[in-house]
Amino acid sequence: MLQRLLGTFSRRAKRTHLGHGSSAPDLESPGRKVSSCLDANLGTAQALRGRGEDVVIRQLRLGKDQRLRAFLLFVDGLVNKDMIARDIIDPLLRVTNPSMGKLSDLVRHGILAVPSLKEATIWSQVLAEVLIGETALFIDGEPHALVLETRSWQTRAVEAPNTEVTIRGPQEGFTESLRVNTSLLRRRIRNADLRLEAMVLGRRTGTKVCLAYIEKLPEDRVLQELRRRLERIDPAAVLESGQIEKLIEDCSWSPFSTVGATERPDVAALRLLQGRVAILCEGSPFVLTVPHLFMEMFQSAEDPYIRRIHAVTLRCGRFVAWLASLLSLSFYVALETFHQEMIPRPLIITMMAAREGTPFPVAVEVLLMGAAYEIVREAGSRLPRPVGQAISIVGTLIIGDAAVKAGLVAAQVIIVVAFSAVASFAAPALTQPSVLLRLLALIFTAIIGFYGTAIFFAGLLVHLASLRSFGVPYLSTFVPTAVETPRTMPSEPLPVWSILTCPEETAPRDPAGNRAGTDRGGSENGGNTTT
Amino acid sequence: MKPLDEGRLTVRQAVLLMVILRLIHVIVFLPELTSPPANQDVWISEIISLPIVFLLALPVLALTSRYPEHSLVQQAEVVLGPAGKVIGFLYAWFFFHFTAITLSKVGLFMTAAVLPQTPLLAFTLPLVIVGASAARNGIGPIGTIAEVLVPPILLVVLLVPVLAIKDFDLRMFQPVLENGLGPVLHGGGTIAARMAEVAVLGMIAPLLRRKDKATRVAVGAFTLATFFVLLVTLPVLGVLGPEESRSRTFAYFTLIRMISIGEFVERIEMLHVLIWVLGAFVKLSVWYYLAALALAQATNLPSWRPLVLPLGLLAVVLSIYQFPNLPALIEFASYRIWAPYVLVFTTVIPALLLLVTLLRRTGRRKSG
Repeated sequence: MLQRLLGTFSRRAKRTHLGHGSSAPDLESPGRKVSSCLDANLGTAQALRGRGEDVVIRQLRLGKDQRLRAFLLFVDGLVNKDMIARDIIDPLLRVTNPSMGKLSDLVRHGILAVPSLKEATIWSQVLAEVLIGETALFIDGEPHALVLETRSWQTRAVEAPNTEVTIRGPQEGFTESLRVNTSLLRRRIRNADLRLEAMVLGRRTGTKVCLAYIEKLPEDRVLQELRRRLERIDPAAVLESGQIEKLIEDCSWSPFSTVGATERPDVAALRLLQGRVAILCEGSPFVLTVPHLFMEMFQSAEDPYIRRIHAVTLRCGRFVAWLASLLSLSFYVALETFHQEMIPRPLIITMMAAREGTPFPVAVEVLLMGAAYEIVREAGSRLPRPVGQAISIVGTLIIGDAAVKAGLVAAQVIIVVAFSAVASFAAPALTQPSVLLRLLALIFTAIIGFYGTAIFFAGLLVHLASLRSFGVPYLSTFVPTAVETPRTMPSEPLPVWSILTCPEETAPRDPAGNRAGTDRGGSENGGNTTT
Repeated sequence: MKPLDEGRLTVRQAVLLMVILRLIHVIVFLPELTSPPANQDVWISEIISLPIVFLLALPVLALTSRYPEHSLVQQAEVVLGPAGKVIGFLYAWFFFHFTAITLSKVGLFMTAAVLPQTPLLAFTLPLVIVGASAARNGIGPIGTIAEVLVPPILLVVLLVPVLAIKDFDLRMFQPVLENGLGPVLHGGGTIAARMAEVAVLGMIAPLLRRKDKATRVAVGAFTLATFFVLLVTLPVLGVLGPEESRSRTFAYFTLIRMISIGEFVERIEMLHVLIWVLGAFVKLSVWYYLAALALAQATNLPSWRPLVLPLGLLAVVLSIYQFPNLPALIEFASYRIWAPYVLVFTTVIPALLLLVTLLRRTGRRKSG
């Protein structure tokens, strides 16, 4: 017996030695079972710990005569230590006369005050649980480990989101904790039909990813396609939902994103109610939603909460501002180089006077100032706030004002570049794609005037019209749902321009008899409802 | 026989597509002014052309209701058997030829009116590349593009008469019916015969989301198109007068050039060029797509996509060689050549097909 034990030990030791640094691959092989011999398990656990100084193995001797041995395995920092001491160790030590079989029963049903408890017979299972903060309890003679829920780690509190600021509407934002995020969704959709499907992505990081949708609302097509794509990808690491987005999007070279991301639980909940699927990722406050449509770029988070007439006006305004930010540089270049006759006479005289003595062609001037602006913006957005202000002063005063005074560029170029820069922030989701598109439009226009602008615009439209997000055309107004409603599935789809006039503010109505929400909960709990 | 394209059009998109096909030619070349009666009564001919075009579209509409699943090219093969392939090739040529003509139009107009020193290819090549990507994507995206682009164009066409109203002179329309009803009727006939959209209807009918709506598309498209053509012709006639407008190559362009309100809204002809190029792009993609589709259907290819690029290259070559200059294009586009050429494809061939169908009594049984 002793010999055998020693044998196991030395074997373990050798393995540890060999597998030093790597994660001891044979231990994680899924088939490896938890032994009924405590010492074997202890050996495995110690081998696993290796240099992991935060892995704690707490050995216990139970019973009056302390004959029964057991040990706890957990990771310090991921667990609530108070809870382990108070609700696990203390009750275990109080057990007076345990016999082997009985203790297991007692533990399972009686004495431990933990919220959830399950059995794991395979080491890889045990490890997966321990690494997210659960505690594994091994008892001598039991061929399995009991996994006790003790998870408790530091998270950021729920704060107002930084990226999507609203005046009206809830001020909660998602955090880095998946559990908190799912709770934020659950709190908004109090409906048993809200499904949360868990999966693990990332070969090395083992990141927990969660699909959220409302049962029977998304089209099967979309859901299956999403599952297929998620199963097909096999990233080494997932640290942020953006990495998943890049792997599952439809068209990776397009400047437009076909997967939506939001930091706001109310927006995510609305998207779910509209028949979309959300992807929550551990460690990321950005929740992905698919399918993602072009119209969502012009939809601000508070559109559904403000009066419709203002929502429509603002959305049209955002669209016009986006077009202006895209095309104002090109229009200016086209007017000044190709079609001067369109500029009113007093204005063209002033403009020509301002251009007097500037060395470069108009297109080059615009390109230079546009590039300078992008550099200032990029530099300013990643810096700590005090330094950022310095950058903006340098940007506006030195680069803008001095360039004109020095006679490098005409003053009107600064005006146009600044206007297009400000306009590009009206639809924040489109700020990034606009940089590229603006440059393209500028090049086309610099070559052949308004004709080039028209060709650029036509090309952009062809791209947008052919783009799809999980099978739904990018330019459509609604995401089709599996529930047929008069609103989402008219015999003829709504025209493209209803993107602007018809805010997608409400969820599709369920057909009669399938009322979602608290109604059903009430009738289930309270029995009869009077109607 | 499948329609090859799984994309579908809504009635609204189909109507907008067909309206823009007609309007794009009109807002630059305005061929109505030089066809009979070629005087101040042109607008009456335009109104008369509306019922006539419905008559001319009857064979196509009858065929589509008999074979709702098949395009014009496929109907020819169903009705005539292998001999129908000849007709399929004829239609492929027809659409291909119109692709080249559209390219010529853009190139020649831009070099003539906007940027005279630029070589023609600088205009046609970028356009054909964008058109090719649209044609490859199929009818669904083309319909969406039309839905985005056509309403603003129609808005501008609606706006121009309002802006030009202060120079409008009703006396320009007198005397009404100067030479009697005959020339006006003749004019109505030629205007109706020019409408190649009838053949387009025959091709896109099986691609409609609701196949029973082909007649509604025809009614909507022809009525709207005639309305907008009137909105173009009336101000031109009323401001410039019949003689002046006839002598101008681009009468509508001249009219827009004349608009000047409060020293603010003036010299807006670039707006015209902009919307015209965008509209011509939609038009080009439709012809281009139909050329590839018709050829693919005639040869029973599984897809039209591989045909797009070769056809585009050929169309560029043809667009350069067919019309050496603008007068040659205008000569071809006049009612003497254009109207009978189009009439063969819009009415004569479909009427023959319909006749054979009726004689052999096949259609209904197959469709039912």
